[in-house]
Amino acid sequence: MSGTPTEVASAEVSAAELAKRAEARGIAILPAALPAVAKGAAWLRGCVALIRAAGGGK
Amino acid sequence: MNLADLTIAEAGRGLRSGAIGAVALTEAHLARIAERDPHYRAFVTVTGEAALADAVRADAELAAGQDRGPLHGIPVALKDLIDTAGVRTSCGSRLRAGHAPTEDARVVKGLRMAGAVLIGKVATYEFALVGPSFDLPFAPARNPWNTDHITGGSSSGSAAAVAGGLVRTAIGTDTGGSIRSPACYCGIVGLKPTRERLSREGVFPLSPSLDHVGPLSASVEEAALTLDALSDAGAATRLGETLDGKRIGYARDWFAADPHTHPAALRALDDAASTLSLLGARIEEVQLPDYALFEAVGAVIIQAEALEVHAEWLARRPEEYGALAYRNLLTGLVLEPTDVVAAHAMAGELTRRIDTEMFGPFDALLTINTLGPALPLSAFDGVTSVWTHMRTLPFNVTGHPVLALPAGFVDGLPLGLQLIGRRGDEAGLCAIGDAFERATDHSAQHPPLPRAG
Repeated sequence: MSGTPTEVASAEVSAAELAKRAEARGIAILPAALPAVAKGAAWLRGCVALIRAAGGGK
Repeated sequence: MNLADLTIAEAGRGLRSGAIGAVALTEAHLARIAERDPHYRAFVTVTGEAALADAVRADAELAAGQDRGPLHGIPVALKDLIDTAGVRTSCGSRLRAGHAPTEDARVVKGLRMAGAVLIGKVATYEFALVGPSFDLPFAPARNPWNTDHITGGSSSGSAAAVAGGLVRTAIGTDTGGSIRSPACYCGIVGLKPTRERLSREGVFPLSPSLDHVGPLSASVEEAALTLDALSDAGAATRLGETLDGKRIGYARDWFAADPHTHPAALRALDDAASTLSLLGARIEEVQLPDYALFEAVGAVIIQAEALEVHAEWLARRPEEYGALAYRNLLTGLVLEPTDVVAAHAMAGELTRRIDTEMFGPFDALLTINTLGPALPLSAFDGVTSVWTHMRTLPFNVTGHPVLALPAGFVDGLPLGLQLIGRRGDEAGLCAIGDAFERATDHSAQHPPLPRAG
């Protein structure tokens, strides 16, 4: 893989939500990584919104 | 002429006539690696002794009339994501820095059956994810056209090794463009075959639904010969065909208005469309489904599947990842199972549309590869993600074969295009690519020799 553009609208993802999701999998996110993970996760959530808006999952 | 500069076909003729030997050919490539790779850092492991043993065997077999085909006696490099029995397969990661598999990957077994000389393992972004990284045991590979620039990835070493003249062909993997974007940035040919054409058994997975294995090579012919040694694709069987009557859809609107598209890249693509037209093909502009939707689908599938692959290590050994891979992998935490189901459903719909709307009327599609030349390494700090814009991911989603070809230069750095073919039609794709390559001089260009010191 490599870089991809950010052409979809991002949706906010909080550090608390990420930490909770990680904990459920036995993962403790290293604190220094949280802002970058949250940014990437927000972009990914925007991807999901785009897919659903296009009819995916119906 | 240095033997390392012979094409696979030229070397093959020499090996069969007795004019050259596989040992001498391998020694020439090993000398080239020793001379140039300190500048390129393409190789993470050079298997010189084993390669020479392979070469001795190839010489003996050819002398005895046992011909294993076009790769017999030809040095080949392998991305360090591909298992090699008894030889370190690091995946570019501290987590696997000491890992030596007990068995060869299926594709490596195929290369051995084809009589290839396995000359070493070449660099990859960590677990084929993101890069370049500067906090790993292995330094990033450098672009032979300008060693201050990135190679692209994740098949970074495969591309640098071929572009730098260290080998004529190498094996890489492609989940979102990892064969094609480094091929583009390094000015060589990349062939992502139809999904399932080459086995992924023994190749460390990034996203099992989208992973592909394929060659990065110095020319279309050499990519086709490499694929044919490993499959029944027959990719080299139609080289030299005329393009008269071929219909090619030009997906120009996927990139022409994108502000990230370098003007020289747009000109190179328009020139390529003109060249293909002059060669006899009928070019029509086409509208593909929305690129952003393809990208969204691919990203959701990759991040969900990659997280599953790495979940246990992320829990138990997080500090052993490089910063970029660690941060990238964890983004998948945000996804719900229903999101992934929706992405797969949309992938199926997009694939159906490409098959019916495009590969009814057209023999191939033409579009851009990366939207500009390779960025300088100084643009990357190894911690912050830097997007490198490209149009590769859709055909991991659909599984169609894609040939990445050089299409021009800007500021001394290569630009490139993609030709997308019908499912299973690597032969038709290579015929078009071969005609384009012969009509242009892009693939005939070589990087400057590395500076001493």
